[in-house]
Amino acid sequence: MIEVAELRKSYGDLAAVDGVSFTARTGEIFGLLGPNGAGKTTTIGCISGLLTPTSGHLRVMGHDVVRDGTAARRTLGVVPQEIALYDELSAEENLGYWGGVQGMRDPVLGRRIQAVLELTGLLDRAREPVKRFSGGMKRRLNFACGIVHQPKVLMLDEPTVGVDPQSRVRLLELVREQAKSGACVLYTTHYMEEAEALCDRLAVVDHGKIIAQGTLAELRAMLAEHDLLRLQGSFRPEAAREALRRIDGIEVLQADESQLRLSLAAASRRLPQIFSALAEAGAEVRGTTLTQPSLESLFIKLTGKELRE
Amino acid sequence: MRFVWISALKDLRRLRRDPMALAMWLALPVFVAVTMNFVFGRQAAAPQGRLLVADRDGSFLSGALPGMFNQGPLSRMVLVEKVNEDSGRLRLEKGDASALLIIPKGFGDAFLNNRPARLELITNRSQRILPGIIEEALSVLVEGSFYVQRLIGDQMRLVSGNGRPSETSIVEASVAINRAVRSVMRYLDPPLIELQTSVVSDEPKQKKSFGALFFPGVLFMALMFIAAGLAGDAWKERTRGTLRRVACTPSPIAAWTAGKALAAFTLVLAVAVLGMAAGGWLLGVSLSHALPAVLWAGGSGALLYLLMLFLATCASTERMATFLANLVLLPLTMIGGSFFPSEIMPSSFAAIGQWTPNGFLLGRFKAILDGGMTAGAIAAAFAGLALAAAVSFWLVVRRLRGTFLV
Repeated sequence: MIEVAELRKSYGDLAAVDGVSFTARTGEIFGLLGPNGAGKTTTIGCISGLLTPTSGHLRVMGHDVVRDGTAARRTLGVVPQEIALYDELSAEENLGYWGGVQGMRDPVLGRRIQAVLELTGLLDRAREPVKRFSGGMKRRLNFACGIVHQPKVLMLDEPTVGVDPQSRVRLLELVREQAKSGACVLYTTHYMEEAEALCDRLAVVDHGKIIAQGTLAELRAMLAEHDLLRLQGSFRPEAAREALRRIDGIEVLQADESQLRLSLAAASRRLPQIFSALAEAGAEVRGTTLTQPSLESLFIKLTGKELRE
Repeated sequence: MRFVWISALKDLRRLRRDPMALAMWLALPVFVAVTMNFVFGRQAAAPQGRLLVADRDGSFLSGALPGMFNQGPLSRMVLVEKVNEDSGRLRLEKGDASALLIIPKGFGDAFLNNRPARLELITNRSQRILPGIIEEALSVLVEGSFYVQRLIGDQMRLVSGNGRPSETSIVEASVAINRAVRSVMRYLDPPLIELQTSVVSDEPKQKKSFGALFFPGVLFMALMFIAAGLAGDAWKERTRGTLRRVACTPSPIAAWTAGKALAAFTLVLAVAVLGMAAGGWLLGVSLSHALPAVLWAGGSGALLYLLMLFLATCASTERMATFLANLVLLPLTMIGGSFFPSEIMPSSFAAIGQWTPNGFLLGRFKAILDGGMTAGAIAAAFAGLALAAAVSFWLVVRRLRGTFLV
């Protein structure tokens, strides 16, 4: 279990994390979703003891991370964003090292190494130097090194960045297996679809703050089954806003000279009405994108921008 | 403690998988050692210079003068070669000789008739010691010649006069020379100066070969390069993220650092053992105090590693760390007595060099290797080394826990 209360981490005047609070429970996958620079990695850094929080409380499996860091870290497994492996060593030796630094000893360590190698599909390449591995294999080994000691809390910081689709699917399966086996999983990502497919509960983070939190259903409910309609073309923003204000149930999320973003129910049926109103406002629509309610549309609704912007 | 061992083992395994890195660190020291051995082998460290002689006179005496350099110990230090003046000057300019002696026309006559004559000695300015030896030797010869002229000048004039001397003249001259020599012999043999001798050491100091003179410096050059190379690995671990990953485990960063220092010590110890064996075999280095010397080299290597690691962790980027390492490595190696032994350095440089970290450690290594330190002094030196390593270790861990980690 991870308990984070009013966590703040500042670098001078810059608040990288600003009052973040959440609880990730045993056996669930808790997602931290947000764009690059939102404060996800800083939050994980504070929980893992890598960074000292400016203020707030952090507990991992009941251990205070600041006061009783060693005990907290004993329960932790971390899969960092970068591939933190020794290229010169084999997969087996890497696992032996990372298991060893977590305090594991043979023969338990040896058995566990074989188990995670099998789990990650690397058993046949166990004795090969890691530098000969493909990117996906390295990602899987990076994951394996985080779980070799069977941690009660597993934190994964964007583990699928730069991974081919096949390896990504395999990695996500492995993460689910960890949660099923009783681990508390904290998963950070900026991929909406990954968060939707994987996480039991989510916190959406932007500029160091949590802007929404709950289960996927709870977050979708915040959108009230509204679709996201994106119109591209040339617009006069104020005139467009004025024209759309006259149509019931339309929320203008964003309006600039090249695009409009609208949130509305049953958008497909109301397209002619919208085009007509915009034409009267002197707008020229050249492209239309309709998105069903999703985390992406929630993020845009909450922040007025796309997650990858 | 277990994590220290795990960490050291990991680094040693990584080194074993990347032998090119070790080869690159050892390339320059090995090159210097091989060159020294090739050039000097096991010969004693006696320098040999070349004296070019341009004889404008061509007399019996001018011909005999260079021959004086072929007498006794001087003959092992100075090779004499007769040349004409122009080619002599040209070769001296090219640095092909230590000095050029020009014997003027009329030198023989002037000597026999007790008239002043001027010998011209042009020395090679790029050399310091050998031209000085030749100049000193020549001045001694000139002074000696003065007394010879005074003593037997008349007889020499008699036999070297114009035309072939008669047998009577030769006999008269010989008898006169014999009498003159006998008359001064009571002053020369035995000498009136009494020399008292006493044994200062049971083991007479052996003359070191050139290779043996260079050996400690070359070994410490290798240690410096290894230390700098291994220290750079901290940046690799930081960039890869393995250092941050370690910081997320219950194992302390201090243990990680200790593991790295242990790996450095082990590697340096292995290099020192092999180096000593090679030094003994190829260069005639005395191995009678090899054990404490090897341990000292290992400890020195670990300390130099920690110092270089501290420097690396002070840098803001990996590139800056490399730049800093290069900035200190070559000057320290030069002045610390690794390229040129302090014994042949100008005294002012040697005095500075002995206070550089590597120069200080090298000085103690030489003293231990030569058997010039008592057991107590060696123990004190090791205690000082351990203290310096502990302070360096503390500084490194402070840096690693601070801004370097994140």
